Amino acid sequence: MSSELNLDYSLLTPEFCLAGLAALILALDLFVDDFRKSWLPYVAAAGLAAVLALSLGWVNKESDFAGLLSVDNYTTFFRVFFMATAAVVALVSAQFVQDKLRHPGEYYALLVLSTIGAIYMAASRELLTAYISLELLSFCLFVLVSYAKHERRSNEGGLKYMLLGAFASAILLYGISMIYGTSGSTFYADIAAAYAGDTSAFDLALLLGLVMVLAGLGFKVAAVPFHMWTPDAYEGAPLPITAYLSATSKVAGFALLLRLFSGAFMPVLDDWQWIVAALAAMTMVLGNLVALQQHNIKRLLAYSSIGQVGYMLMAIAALSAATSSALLLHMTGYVITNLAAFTCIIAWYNLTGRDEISGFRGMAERTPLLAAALTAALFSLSGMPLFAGFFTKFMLFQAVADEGFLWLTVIAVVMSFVSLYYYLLVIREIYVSKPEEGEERLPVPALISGLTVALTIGVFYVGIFPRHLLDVAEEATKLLFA
Amino acid sequence: MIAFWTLAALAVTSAAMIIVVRNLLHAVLFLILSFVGIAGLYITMSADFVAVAQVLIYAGAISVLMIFAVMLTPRSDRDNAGNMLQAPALVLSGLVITAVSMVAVETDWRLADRVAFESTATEIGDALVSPFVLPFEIASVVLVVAMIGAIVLVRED
Amino acid sequence: MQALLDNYVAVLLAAVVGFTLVGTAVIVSRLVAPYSTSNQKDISYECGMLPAAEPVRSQLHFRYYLFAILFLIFDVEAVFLFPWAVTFLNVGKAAFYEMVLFIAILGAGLAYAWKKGVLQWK
Repeated sequence: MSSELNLDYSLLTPEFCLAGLAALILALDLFVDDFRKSWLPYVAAAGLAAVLALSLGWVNKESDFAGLLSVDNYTTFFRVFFMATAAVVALVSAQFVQDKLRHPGEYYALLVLSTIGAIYMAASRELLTAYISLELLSFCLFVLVSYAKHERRSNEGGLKYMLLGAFASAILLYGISMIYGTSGSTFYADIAAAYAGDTSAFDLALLLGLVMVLAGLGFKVAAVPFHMWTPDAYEGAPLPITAYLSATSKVAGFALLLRLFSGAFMPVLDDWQWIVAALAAMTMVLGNLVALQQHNIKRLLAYSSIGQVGYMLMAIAALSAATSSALLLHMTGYVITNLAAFTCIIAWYNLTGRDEISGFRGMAERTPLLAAALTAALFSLSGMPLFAGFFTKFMLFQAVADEGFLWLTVIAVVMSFVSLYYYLLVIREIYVSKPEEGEERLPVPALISGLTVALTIGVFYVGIFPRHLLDVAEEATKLLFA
Repeated sequence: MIAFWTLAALAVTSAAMIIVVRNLLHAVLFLILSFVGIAGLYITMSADFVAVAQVLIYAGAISVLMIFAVMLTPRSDRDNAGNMLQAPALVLSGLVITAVSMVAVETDWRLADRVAFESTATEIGDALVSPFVLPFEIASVVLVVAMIGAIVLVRED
Repeated sequence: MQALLDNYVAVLLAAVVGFTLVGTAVIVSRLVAPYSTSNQKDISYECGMLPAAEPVRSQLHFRYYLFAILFLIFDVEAVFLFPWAVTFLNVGKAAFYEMVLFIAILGAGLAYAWKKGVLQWK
């Protein structure tokens, strides 16, 4: 580390703006008497969109803040990614929060603040910064998951998530202390330098540290066997927060993993590669097999998202420039698809109050647009050609196989077929089961229709014209392996 | 050396007692004792500031929080009965303890090059304001989030 | 090492003296004070009901819990303040403004709590 620190606060402008936005939302909610609370989500979404546009000013620039975090294309990619996700979640929350939850101001403020945590997880180049950002994201999510506090399931899910999350944080910290104890630094670059030479003096401690870091982060991204909180938290959380959990919290975890393992732990690849590969295999198999038995759409998507985590972990196991850009690509496709699916599910729930799989019967007749979009999203999740899911999985599996993990790819392909089965179960309810007597067509709000169409177009766009996104992903990960 | 072993024994025994005792309130009191023991251990490692923070935050504030939590809970005096998972849990924690102590003994740790006892508060302060500004500021945001969360979730409405 | 041991002796001495003092006070008062036992002394004084058979614990109002959490949060803030206070003269202006920002963020949180009416005991 150089003695001259670069304390250029202007690098952090987007996050300052986000914090300001959160404060503005709270203030509007609390101090302005005649403010219409139903406008809050639009304020949040508009603010996020504005900061997103602002953060584009750092494209192709490369700098760092005191060595703690980098502002480069990788960071910019995730800034855009997380802010766009949060904006979409804010918009789909509008109706739901108004109908079902109290304290809308805090809801949107926490949503915005959690984005800061997610961004810094992707940006940090130092373990403590990464850890505290992870905590920021987790704290917001703990609160948001238990937001429906008059419902038992929300309380239960929130409590489980918080206890296991705190446990995971403790393990992660212990792991970090092992890494610090053996390498003498918390900066990724210094750790890599310390591990580049002979590590035999502290091999065991290093291994234990790696295992603990992996276990802690594995909790956060819900990798098997650290996934126990996922189904309950997904089921108990308010629906839009379930969408947010499946998108931002996972992707932020992987953004951190990717920068950490490529930046700090590359020299000791042999120590952790097999662990991550084993985790990936277990996660894929268990997530997809248990998903087969679910009756609730939230639990189904919880297990299917665990399965997706397995695919993403493969990229970490076979870490290289190709797999990491494929990972970014896959995560983008996955999040667009997942948000599309959740937008439909939330709209359907707002209209009918049903979230069981059998509750989707007659959706095709009652809300044809939502039915078509949800079907497209589910096909994409299972990896059908033409949809985003196919292309991104194709790239990911290919990249992983190229790195010599053919056996993982085989498992992944088999599990993709398994996943098709349970997605088809939902689609059957939507299209084959007839609605009950006297159930008419339902009016879908214009905003939701627009959002659904936009996200569905996104799903097809990534699936049919993948070149653009691939270029962006390659550009973003180039520096990691420079 | 004597101080270290006494404090270690105190911390470990009271930690074990937390699990063994049936009364929830007693468990919390043993937890506080364990916190104090750990604070003592920090002093033997000449990490004076961490020790003070440990006493202030853990033995002070967090214990208050826990005692309140116990007092708030209806039927908190019922005992925390054992269940089927006792044996596997014992085996698992035994394995973890073995692994960690093996690592602690086998490893050639990088040692801090300090001999005399000197105050660490200044060094921590320096680290907080110059290289580690950002985690420090994020910590304040985390605290505010915790405050908002507590208010939203705990307040009656 | 010798210096450390010397310091330790002082601590040990203080501890021994402290324990002895408290111990003698307790024992002496036990010995000197008039002391009698009877069943009558164990029941409620004069009027009032005998307590119910099983120990009844009164449940606290959960509002206390919120105050405990707020206390914890500002306790943590205080812990951050100490090292800053001993160091900021040497580090200069930047350190001062960093702490101002830190406190401002928490102050905003406090203002929020105040406006929300949390600090009132209704």
